Amino acid sequence: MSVLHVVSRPNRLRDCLARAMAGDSVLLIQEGVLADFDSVNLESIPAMTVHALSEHIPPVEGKSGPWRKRIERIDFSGFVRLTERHQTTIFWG
Amino acid sequence: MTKTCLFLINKMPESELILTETLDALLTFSAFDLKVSVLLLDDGVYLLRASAGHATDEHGLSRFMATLDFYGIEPVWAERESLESRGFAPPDATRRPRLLDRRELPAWLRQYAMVLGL
Repeated sequence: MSVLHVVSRPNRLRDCLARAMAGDSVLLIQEGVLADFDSVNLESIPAMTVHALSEHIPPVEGKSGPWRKRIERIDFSGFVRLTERHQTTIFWG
Repeated sequence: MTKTCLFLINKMPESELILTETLDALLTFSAFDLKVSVLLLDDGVYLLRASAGHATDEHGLSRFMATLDFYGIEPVWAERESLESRGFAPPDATRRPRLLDRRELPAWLRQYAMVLGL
């Protein structure tokens, strides 16, 4: 069983990652797309996929770093597919 | 086999309406013989403080725990680290909530067929 963690606020990213485990996915939506992955201790994060809803990503992104390269942009259809792939969805907003 | 359902509350409800709808969902699931549990995380643990009468009850928060009590909905779990970081004293072992350590939580969640949130 795996969990899809949907993060809609930047300050909830740490809360989410503290409760995620390998095999889970993180989806950034709304203001969550501005979450600062670069301040997170990378070694503390389990192996999981990270996605961001492209509709919510601002045209100019101020952040860059190794985590930004790991984030896959998806559309709303991709959002639906993620919910199908995971047994449970938890919202962090 | 009875399905298990966890209501995960990881923030304070933004309005009384949200709290009421959460209670409605909890009671409905419970009425249909689903095994319902509640987990309080992060700012969700303030529901305990409201129920103990230690805080202003802006959105009728005290009603939440009282309703769970009245209808015998249990267990109610709370994450130990969420309580400690917000200055809550560890609850008496014989009373609610039951405590769960953060490191146990990711695997623990997976025992439930459904996880619902506010």
